[in-house]
Amino acid sequence: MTTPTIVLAEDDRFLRRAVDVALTKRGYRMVLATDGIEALDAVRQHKPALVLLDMLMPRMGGMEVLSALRADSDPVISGTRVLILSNSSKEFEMQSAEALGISGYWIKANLSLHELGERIQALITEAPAAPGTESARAPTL
Amino acid sequence: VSRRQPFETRLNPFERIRSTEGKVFLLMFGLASLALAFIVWTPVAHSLGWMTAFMVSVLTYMVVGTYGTMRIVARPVRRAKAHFEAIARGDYSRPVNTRRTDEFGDMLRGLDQMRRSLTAAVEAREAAESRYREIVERSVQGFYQSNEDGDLLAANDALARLLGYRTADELLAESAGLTKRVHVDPARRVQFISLMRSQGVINGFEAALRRRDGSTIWITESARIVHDPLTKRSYLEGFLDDITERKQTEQFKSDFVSFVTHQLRTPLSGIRWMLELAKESESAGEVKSFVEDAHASAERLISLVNDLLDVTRLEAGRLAMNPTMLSLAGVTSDIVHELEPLAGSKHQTLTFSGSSPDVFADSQLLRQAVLNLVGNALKYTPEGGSVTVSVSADEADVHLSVRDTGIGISEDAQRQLFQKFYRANNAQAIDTEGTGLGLYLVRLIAEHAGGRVACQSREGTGSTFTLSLPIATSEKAVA
Repeated sequence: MTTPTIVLAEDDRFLRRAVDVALTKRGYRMVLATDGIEALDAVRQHKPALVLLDMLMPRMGGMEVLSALRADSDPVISGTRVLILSNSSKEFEMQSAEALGISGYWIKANLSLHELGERIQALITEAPAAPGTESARAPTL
Repeated sequence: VSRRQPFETRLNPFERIRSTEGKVFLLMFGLASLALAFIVWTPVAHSLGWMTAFMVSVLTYMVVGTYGTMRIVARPVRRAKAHFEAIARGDYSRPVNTRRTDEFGDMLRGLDQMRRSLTAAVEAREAAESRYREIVERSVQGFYQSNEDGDLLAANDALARLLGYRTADELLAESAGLTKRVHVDPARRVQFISLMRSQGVINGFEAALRRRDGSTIWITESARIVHDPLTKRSYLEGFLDDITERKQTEQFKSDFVSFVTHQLRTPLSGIRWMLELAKESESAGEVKSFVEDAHASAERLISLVNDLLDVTRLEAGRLAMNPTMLSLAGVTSDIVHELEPLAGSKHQTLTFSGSSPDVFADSQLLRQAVLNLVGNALKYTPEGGSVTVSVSADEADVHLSVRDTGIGISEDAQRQLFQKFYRANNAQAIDTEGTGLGLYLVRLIAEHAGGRVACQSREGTGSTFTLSLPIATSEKAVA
């Protein structure tokens, strides 16, 4: 079994480092992005099993990244599994993200790295053929 | 058991003569006497013969008697009819005059009495209505009547102004379907109507309405269904209050809470996760670096909390200040010196020039203000750009000018730049960690020292911020 790749889009360098270290230890191949534009490039290049996406980022926010991914012509890219990892809990943002199709909307401050690792592991093993799975697809509106 | 006698049996003989029966009796009696006299005494009767004379007399008696009786009875009835018709039309102005002494005279006088009380009642009602109409018209609450199709039937000036019209007439000119059209959320109107149907009355229903110029206002509405007995139809009647300001405050508060929540959670997560990593790490070097990062996150958290506190205290005037005679040029040159390594790392040119007379201010706060201005200039200027800081003075004030070749600020953003928590869109794209407090703090600090801060900018070209403080006089220094 190949090592699953995870793209982590996070502008705060401390949080980026913490998640990177924790998930690398669990055996994932981590690709780091510091803003939305880097995140989009990374997803298109690496076709990861999962994208951990922050909402509030410079240049391009998480919401725009998610929309761009779902609108991509390549079905592998548009079906990428996305997990929102944010510290903002605005109802409106959560609903908009849900509508575009996400695997979860988690608040960073409420999770330990251990919990985060366990949950991600459960998510990735639940459907090994990660990209383009049913749950990650945008629902038809 | 006593029973009232019928009215006419209680008439005395004199009144009986003046009554209608009396008049008819006198007429018939008089005519009969004349007929008898004609038969007995006139030569015409003798020549015609008794039988013919009797027949002529009876015929004449019947015709003249019937006509006279009819006149006595029908004329006042006809007059009364005309007056009743006028009243039915709503014309109460025609007085009923009569000198008749019989029951018809009484009837006509009774009719006039009725006309006068009706006039008084109508006038009282109109006065009351106009009083209420005036209350409604002068009310600061918007008032309307509408049908269920949403057509506006009535409105006052306050409602018109609420919706961006000058007068109620101007609003009523566009009445068709209006109460339906103004709802920003059509579902909210549907909800309103179904609540009205089930309850008949609503108090404090909140909704967003679209004004004539397209802007949105928030209102609270109290309404009821009114049944009009005349037209047998129902309509809606309601009062509206503008609560836009309250809604904006609520929105601002909730934005503030979610913003601060996000800003506090980020360094908190950093601390938590770094410590978790340190706890589980076996390597001493790794532990040290995790703890350092946790420490740096903690520093950021503290400076954020302090900024928030400074703002709150400055706003409330509760910050302990220790103003002294200070050289703005001196403070600025120190800060420029401290920031040189940062500018160097971005290959930016940072220069300082000028000197100035002293100002009277709190050194900590003044430092903070200058640091925010120069720090911002560096943050929002791309690599290779330049930041030029200079201090000068005129007769009254010392001016600090910070000019950069950065991203600039749109005109729209310039208007809101010094407001609490405001962040320009292009600034947000560069740095998501900003709190929107920096320039607001500069403004508060400048105002507390009797000065002001201003900005000139063109988007994409650069910005110049000017902090002006009054030159310290010896009086102030003593005070």
